[in-house]
Amino acid sequence: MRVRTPLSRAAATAALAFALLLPAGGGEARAGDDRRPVPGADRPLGVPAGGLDRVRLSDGRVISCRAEERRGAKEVLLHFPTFTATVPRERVLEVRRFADYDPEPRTDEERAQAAKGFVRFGGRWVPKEAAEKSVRDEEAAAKRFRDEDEFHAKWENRWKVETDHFLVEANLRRDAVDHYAALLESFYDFFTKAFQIRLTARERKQKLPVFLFRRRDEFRQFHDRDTGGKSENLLGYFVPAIGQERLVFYDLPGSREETVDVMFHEGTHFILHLAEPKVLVSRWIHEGCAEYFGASGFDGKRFTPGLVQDGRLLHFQDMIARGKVLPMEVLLRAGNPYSEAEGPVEFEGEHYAQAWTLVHYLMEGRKGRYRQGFISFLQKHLDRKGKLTALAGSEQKFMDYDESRAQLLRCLGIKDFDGLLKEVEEYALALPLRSARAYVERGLERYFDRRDPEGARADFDTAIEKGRDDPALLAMAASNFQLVPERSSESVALFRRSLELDPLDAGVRHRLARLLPPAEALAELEIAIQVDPDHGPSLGDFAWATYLTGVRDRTRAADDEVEAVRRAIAIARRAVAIDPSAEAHHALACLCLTVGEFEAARDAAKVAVEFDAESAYHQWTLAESYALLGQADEFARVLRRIELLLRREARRGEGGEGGEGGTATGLDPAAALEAVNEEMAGLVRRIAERCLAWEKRSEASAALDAWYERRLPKSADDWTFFSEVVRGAGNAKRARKIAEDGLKAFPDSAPLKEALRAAAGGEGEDAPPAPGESPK
Amino acid sequence: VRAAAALLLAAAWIGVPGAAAAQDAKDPEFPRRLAAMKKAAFSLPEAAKEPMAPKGERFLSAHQWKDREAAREAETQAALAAVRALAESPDSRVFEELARGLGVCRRMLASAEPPLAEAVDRLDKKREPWFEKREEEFRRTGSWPSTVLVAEKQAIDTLLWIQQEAAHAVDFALRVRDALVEGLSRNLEVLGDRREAAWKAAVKLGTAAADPFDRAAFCLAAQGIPGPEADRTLLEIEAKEKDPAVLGACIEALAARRCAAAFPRLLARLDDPDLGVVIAAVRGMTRFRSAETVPALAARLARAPEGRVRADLLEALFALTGKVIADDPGAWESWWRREGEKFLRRWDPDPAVRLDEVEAIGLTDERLINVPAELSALLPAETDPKVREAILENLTIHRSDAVRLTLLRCLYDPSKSTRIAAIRGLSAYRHVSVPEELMRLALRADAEELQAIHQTLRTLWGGAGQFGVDAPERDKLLRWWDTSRDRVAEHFGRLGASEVASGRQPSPADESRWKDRNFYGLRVESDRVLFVVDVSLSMEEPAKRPGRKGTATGDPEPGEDGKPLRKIEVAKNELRRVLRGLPEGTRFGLVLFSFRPEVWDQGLVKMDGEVRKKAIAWVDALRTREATNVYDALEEAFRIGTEKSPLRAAGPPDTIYFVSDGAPTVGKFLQPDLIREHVRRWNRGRNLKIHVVGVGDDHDVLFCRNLAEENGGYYVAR
Repeated sequence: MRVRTPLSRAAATAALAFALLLPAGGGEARAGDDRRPVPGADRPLGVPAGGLDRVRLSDGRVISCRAEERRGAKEVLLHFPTFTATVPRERVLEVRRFADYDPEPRTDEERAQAAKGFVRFGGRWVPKEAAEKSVRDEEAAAKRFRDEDEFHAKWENRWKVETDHFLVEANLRRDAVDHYAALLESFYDFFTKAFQIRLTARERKQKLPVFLFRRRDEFRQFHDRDTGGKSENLLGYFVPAIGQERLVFYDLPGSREETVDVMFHEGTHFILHLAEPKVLVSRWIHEGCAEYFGASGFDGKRFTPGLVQDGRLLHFQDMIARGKVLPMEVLLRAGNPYSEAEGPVEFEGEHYAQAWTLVHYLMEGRKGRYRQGFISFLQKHLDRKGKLTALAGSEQKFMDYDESRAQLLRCLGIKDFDGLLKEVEEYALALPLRSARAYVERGLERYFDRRDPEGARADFDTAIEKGRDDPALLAMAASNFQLVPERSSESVALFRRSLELDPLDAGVRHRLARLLPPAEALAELEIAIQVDPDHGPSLGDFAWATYLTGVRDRTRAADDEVEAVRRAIAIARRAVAIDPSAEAHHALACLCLTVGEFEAARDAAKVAVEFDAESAYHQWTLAESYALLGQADEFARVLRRIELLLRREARRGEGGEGGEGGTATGLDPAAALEAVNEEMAGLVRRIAERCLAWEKRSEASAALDAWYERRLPKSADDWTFFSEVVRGAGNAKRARKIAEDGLKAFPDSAPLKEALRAAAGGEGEDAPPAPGESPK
Repeated sequence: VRAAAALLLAAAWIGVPGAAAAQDAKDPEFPRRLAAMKKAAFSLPEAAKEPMAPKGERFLSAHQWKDREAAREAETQAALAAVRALAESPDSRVFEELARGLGVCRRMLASAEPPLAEAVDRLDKKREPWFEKREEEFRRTGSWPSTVLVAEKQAIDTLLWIQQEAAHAVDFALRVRDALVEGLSRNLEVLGDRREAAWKAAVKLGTAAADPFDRAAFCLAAQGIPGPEADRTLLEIEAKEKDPAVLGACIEALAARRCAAAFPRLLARLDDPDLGVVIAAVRGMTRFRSAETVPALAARLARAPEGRVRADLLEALFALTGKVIADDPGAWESWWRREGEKFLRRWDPDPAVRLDEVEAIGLTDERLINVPAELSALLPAETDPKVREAILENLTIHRSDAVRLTLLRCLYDPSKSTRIAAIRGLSAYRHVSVPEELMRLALRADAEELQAIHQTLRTLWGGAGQFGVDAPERDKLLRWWDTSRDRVAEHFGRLGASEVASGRQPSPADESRWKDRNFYGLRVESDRVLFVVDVSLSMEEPAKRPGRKGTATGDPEPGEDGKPLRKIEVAKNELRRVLRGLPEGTRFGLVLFSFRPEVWDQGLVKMDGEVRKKAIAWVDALRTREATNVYDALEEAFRIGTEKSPLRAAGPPDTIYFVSDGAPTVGKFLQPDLIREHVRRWNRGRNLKIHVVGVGDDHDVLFCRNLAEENGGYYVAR
């Protein structure tokens, strides 16, 4: 179990609020807390795109395809150009049938109707103007919706919704605000009944301010100002100061259910507080109950409290495994701000975990044996039947430790806590986790932290079994299994299964493609960009996979390849417009090189290098572009940098640099240097050959000249190649000189002698210039 | 600094109406702009004139604070925009109006300051007992109080609101004044050829001013004025002026203008009897790259055994060469004898030679020289675009702090392609300065730059799935920054002390020499040094180095009892060590601050055996108290040794070491940006170096880093 970031000093000063902290380890998952945009959600619904339908899905996405709804069928078929997705009918909220409205008449019938001024629209023939007006109206409505949403997204323009007991202020979409407000009201009714809480007239009359933020950063800013604390791991908080109560939380990105958990948690604090504002109920009861009720299921009519809080249960199980279960005295005293002499302990993650497990056991364990006892113990606070101590300087009272201990023992009908704690431990170990996701997390922890592959295997199996119909879970498991050697072979199958369940997730398909060989990856990526034409990573990878598979010799696209490459270039351009990463630019540059768009290649390669200068691959593409453009000096400069990078890498291999991630090659320094030299010679040669493949002889010659200006070729082959390229460019005299120099170093080389003869033969009758080129 | 100067220069013109209006030019927009400025900038906001508590509210809820804070900032921004708009007008009356505005500002300030003092006083009276109660509870229980008495908190909040309004009034007036001053400089540019008359009047008034501070200000203002006439004027001043502050400013201005005729004067000033003049000359030398520069600095180094001059000389040599040569007086001279001629090729007038040199440095094995530092040293003076490009290309394949700093400087490069390359190159640096500087650039970036900024931030955040801003739009980015600023700082802060801080890690060779003369790992080179240390109650918490597991440089050793040391114990240990290590004769001072600052003895004191004992005893006995008063502590630090202070026996410090573990909770100004703004104002023309030590997880990374780097110091997180 990873350790949660400890409470900061400032968070501690803010402890006047009941703050809900993330369970251990949860912070990582939500570190990137900004809202991830729903793909396509901002696309207007009703605008025809190439005669396709617009389909709105239940998760907010809007996609373009042809939708086929068969009568009586439970699924809808969504046709994309190269594949068909089958999705359950309930996932499709709305289909806008604009497939028939194509501003361009294409069939005879359409042309005939068009001549009369009609187009097919929504299944009928209507005047073209009417169809276009409808489209315009749609667009305007979509814009209005967006503008209004953006307006209310600013906190100063927030919604204010009043319900029977709450005044909800929120900058979410209106339907979300209403949803949360209604849920909060239902919870209020349920909770007050469940705990038989009767509120006084004042408390009934007073409406609690609820601040609900769209974004976590807004929430954090508000919190820090509101309480003077810091909110690193905070999900929500409630301030119980009499007359100034307020409940503050934010809409967790992409997870309404989690937001509801937080809302119920803080709502529980609120109602417990409101039941008797002048009594400060002990912290463990507050948090235990809040966590217990926070995990409530609600089907629109009934509440089911007491679902398992996986994070807390995992934490407590971990505490048991490490022998770190807290003695009851510590829990009863912990975070209790009202104890005088002993010195309060901060309420940390382990206190939350144990408080939740204890309350869950008291409410649910042994068929509810302790439930009534626990409720009556709580009532002792609320109806002030227990002995309460006044808090110095305040009108509030609290139950001190001794009294609290005695009352709890009496109400539960037990003699001491030792037996109870043992029961709780057994209960916790037997309690199944709620979500399949939690099993994956526990499996990873068992595998990596506890070195328990057997236990991990069981957890992974359970997770896969439990989550077999949950595409998100399967994709998450597939990603994580890549880290576990024994399971990594399952990743592809799991991704595929996930995609069977949700064929419309471009992100998952992209992750799958990264595990496949290029040809298969290309097919998957093709689908991914049909489903989500704005998925930047898929677009970039598609371009790269096309380069790998679509150009046989990687140098120059053959005639039958050009079309595919051009399409890939268009896609790569889209990729860099959406997500201008180094990789996307590199793919674009590589593709451009194969069709002779050298300047475009150079520009893209330059950006790739600017973003990631330490990649020798990016530098290489840039060097190639320079060579092909005849910018020999620049070419040589980039090449020298590549050499430096390779040398550095080689040094890391020796372990001489102490750099991280270097793999020991076992080479001695001289051999490593030799390897770099060889690699560089090969590289230079390949680039020159590429120039020759484009019949750029003088460029090839200039590039070699520039490169060998400050060094000499290292082998007879390199000398020969150099001489031949120079001769090919029409400079036989210089070619001869090169061959002669080469022979000084390698006097016995037959190819060099041949090259010398050829150069000498060509002298005086310089080779004819390549077509379309003038000799330099 | 230039702005401050223009301020005083223009202030001198108040009462000389028409000085700038010698040549008439009419702008039809002028009356409208003038009226707009008067309305927005010269009427203190209603709430600030008579700071009032908000009425009819049960309590001051968070969004009220937030809304009001936003409204205050909006008021100020509107005023500044109106001033800037007027400064852009080519009308010949603008200069005069702006200068007159400074007088109005002075009156505004005079009327805003007393209410602030009064508000602070009232608040402190109410708050001090409250803090005492918190302190008492903390001491009793070892934990922060969890309950707050509502009525008391409410009363304090109300007074705090009043104080914030009063502080806003002062801040408003100060910022309007700064904008007016900037406007004056800008207007001189707008006036263009018609500047001559205004310039003459300025010279006459600027050089003849009775107050040396005004004359210094004039020199700095002249720094930005194009044309040879400004060079001539400054050289004349340099020859005649006797006052050291004016001389320092004059040298600074001449160096900034790279005035060739000034170089011999700077050489001569390296041995000026006044320390401030020498420092100005040393710094100025880095602008001139000639065969004489390095030998002159090296020779001067041999004559500077200790203190601030020595530190500044080493810094100047590093800035020029990118080399760190052993800390031995003769080492630089012998290096120059050996390698000087070869080195000078880097400064050759022929760009082709320089290009070769850049390539050669770039290809040198990193184990032999500090490639990034040597390349970075070449960039500031390089004018040829091709060479600049080559420097950048060679730099970005290295990942080091020097490269980050160079790339950050390149964000202000006049060439757009350089700026964009720098933005993209920064995507490899997970450092708090990167988003901060990028967002500063975003304010004036064009579409292409915005896209690069967006992508770099997205890369730093782990891709599109993590970074919430979905399009490279200025508003969206600014909004993100507005709400995420603190979290961003925290996020990077957690990466680990060494990655975020700018402090030098002592090299093993240094360690023995500076073993006792370092403070939290920062060398104490100066011989006029002031330690300003936070002794707020939170310093009683256990000392933990910031940073996630595995990235932090390790928590301090536990104490004798095996328990982790508390922050205050670490601070005491650091103070004791440095007090033992400071050589006799060093002038040093101690300022401890919590609810209010407390100065030891007579400000700066000359070290001797007796003093050392007393100072250590004082440190031993120090007691933490609740609250953190950063503003007043720094104000006090800047006052020590000046004429305004009774503690001036041993003069002012030249270096400050500032230690804090949290955000300001009391003081005239609480917002970190405002405090920095004030420090910048106080430090104009004084060049105090401020090193900052941020302690623990909760210190304000942005504030600490900026405070250090804006004032020539280092920031370390411990």
